Amino acid sequence: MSEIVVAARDLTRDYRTGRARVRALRGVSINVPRGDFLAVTGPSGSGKSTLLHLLGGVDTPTSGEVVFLGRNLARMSVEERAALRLNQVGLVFQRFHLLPMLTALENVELPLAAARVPRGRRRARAAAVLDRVALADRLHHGPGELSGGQCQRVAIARALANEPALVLADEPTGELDRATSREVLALFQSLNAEGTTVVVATHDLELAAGAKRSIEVVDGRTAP
Amino acid sequence: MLALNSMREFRTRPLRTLLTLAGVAVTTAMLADMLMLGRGITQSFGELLESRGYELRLTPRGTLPFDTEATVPGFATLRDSVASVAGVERVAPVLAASVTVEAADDARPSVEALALGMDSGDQGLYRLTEGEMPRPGEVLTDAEVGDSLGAEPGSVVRLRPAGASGAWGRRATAQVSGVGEFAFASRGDLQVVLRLDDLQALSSQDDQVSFAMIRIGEGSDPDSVRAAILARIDRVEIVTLAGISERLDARLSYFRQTALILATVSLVVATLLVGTLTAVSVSERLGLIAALRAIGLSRRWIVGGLAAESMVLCAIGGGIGVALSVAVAGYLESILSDFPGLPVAVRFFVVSADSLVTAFALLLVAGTAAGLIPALNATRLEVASILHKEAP
Amino acid sequence: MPLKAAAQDCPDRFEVLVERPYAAAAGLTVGSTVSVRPAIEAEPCAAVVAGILEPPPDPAALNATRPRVLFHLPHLQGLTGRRNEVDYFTVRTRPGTDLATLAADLDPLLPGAQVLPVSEVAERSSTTFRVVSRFHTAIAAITLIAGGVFLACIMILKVQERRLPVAAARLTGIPRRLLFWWTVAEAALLSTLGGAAGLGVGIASSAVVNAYYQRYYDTTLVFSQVTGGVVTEALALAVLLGMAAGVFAAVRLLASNPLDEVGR
Repeated sequence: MSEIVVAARDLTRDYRTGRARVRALRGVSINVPRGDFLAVTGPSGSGKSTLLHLLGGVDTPTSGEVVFLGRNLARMSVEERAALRLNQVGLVFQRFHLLPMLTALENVELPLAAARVPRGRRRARAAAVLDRVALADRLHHGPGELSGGQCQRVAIARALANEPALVLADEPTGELDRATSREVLALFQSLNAEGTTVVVATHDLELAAGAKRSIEVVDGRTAP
Repeated sequence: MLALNSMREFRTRPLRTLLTLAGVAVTTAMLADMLMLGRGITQSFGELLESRGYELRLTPRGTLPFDTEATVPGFATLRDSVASVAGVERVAPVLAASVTVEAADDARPSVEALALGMDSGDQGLYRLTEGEMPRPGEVLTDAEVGDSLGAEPGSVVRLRPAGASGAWGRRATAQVSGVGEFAFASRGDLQVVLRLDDLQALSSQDDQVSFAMIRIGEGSDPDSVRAAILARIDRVEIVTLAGISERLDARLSYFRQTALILATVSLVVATLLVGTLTAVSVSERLGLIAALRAIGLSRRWIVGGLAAESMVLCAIGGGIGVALSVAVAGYLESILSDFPGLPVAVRFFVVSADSLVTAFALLLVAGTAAGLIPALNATRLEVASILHKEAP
Repeated sequence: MPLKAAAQDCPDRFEVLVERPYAAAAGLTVGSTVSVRPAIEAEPCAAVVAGILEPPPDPAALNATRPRVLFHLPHLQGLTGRRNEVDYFTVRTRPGTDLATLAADLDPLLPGAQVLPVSEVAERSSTTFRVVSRFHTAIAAITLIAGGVFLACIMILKVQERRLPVAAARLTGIPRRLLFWWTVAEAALLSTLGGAAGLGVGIASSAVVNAYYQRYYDTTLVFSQVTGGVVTEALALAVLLGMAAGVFAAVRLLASNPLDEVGR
């Protein structure tokens, strides 16, 4: 059996909205084995993003536990979890969240610089990853000079920079047109084929259909 | 790299950046000027006193040189006593008295001047710029007296004590020996120099002096020599240069305190300005900051990047401010140079590397600290909830 | 050496008035006896403290290092040997007298002296305050520049924050003029409130300044006075500055195409 990259056990997550208490997740359990390409689907507000944040250690559960490569995230400090994300998790956001004044190359270099990779090596690595996402000719372009699809590919390259064990993408095609969404799906499929484990939260059925498997989250629960 | 992003962002928001830099520059200039004002008077007056080469002053009790019309009588005897004290190298007596100076041909109106009666060779209070020092029966004038009376070295002028009594009293005729610059003259003051005997005779103040300057030998301690003189003569005041500076400082304490208040206000305004702008800048980029935290950048990394942004603004604005402060100091000096009763050579604002560096460093520290607070707050927020809010 | 003032010049019933701070420091009360001499070598005369004076709130006397003692004129003249001499005297004129003419008429009668209208005496003796006042004005101007820059910065930030809602308002048909005046009024209100708060701080700090300096110099002199004129001037400047910043912001805010702001 494949190694489990991340396992979630009976996760619940409550949020406070003013005086009200909202339960975003209600006892969700999943395993993500190495080499998996999992799509988490469901309507807006169903808890998809919350699940992704918990799997990546961005957020902590109200109850339940997340074990990442054998380490229980609940036993790690905020900064330890940040270091884990930096080195083992690649995050992709719907709105890209690229630094607007840095070039594509510099944006991809950012997590490498934070991981203290020497300048020469990180330049080469960033260029190689950008080449991998077919942006070798856009290394020195800023986000303002790139299309939405190109920006998302830069963001994916940034997520891949530190060779993570897991890529978590939250609505990666949410801001893209149909054709560009297909390009992004193809990129994820190709990365997965090369061995990268990918979990995508999406309500894009075409993207979900392109994954190896999918689960649906409805009202904070995984649908049977 | 975050700092690099910020630097480039400055270029995309030129007006905002320029206004911030202008705000920081104006407040830094104010801060530097107030530091200069706080230290300038003491420093420049101290330098002026030290440049004269006499370390002690002998004055009538409770007075300072040029402070009152009080005199020390019986100076000849006193001088011998002072001169015999170990460590005293030279005693230079000065009598100051107001005189009316007239051109010999009465062609121009007379002028009122402060006459200094001094021994030959004592140039502690003036510097010869033309001609020679006065011999008996001669007078040295400042340039203004010479211009007013049309007198130059070789001309003859008439002198009499100023005031009503002088109108009917003694008069003297003196030949102008030379022209000098007077270190302790206030703006608008006219000064002339006569030999001490001549002025004593003219002003009917035989054997009296207003004060005496005392030069001490190399290696002697002014305080010890002062104590030794006072142990022998207790009817006079002996003041060290530090003592004179302290008294002037006390007299102008208003400016020092104003400087302290305004320097504090400047620092607070700069801190508020940088703090407000960083807070806004952070809140604009909250989503990005959350995303950077999410991809694993440490809190220290992000705070460092944001603090670098404030630091760069403060450094550039502060640099401009330091340069601006020199110009503003010149302007404020031109206003305060009319302050009555102070020697022209005393400056309120002395541009010193010390003041400029202190102002720059204070602003840099305060501004960076002001930027740190919103940056720290931003990185303490829950990343997940910000990402939720940012999602469309 | 014999001095002009000697023991034989001691007046009968020699009385003096001393100022309160000096009296307090020297432990003098009414009826105390003090010794007075014109120079340290002279023979002293005994004088009785006839009264304690509150020093006049004279700014020029703030830094006086020596206490002031009041004598009867003949007593001081006798003591100093300057009989029939005065430093100056004042002349009360009949109402309607032309002071300049009178001064010109008196001048030749008093060789070696000068006759000055009181206004000129005041003018000549107020140099210190004129200089300090000019200094304060310069500082106020610099402060105003700093305040103006601060306000402009804040308004620029507001403009950036408001771009989208203002563009949306324009698209829904709200006239530009209304939005312009709304922005200007907001800036004016902001600066008026800020100015009022600043005035509050100013009044409080004025009280602190007065309390501190009155204690520091032991005087009743009022150092800082918040007058109606000062309040009006400060508020007017704040409002004007605010309106200028508002106009600047409004022009920038309304210059762009609303469709560009909301995204076509």
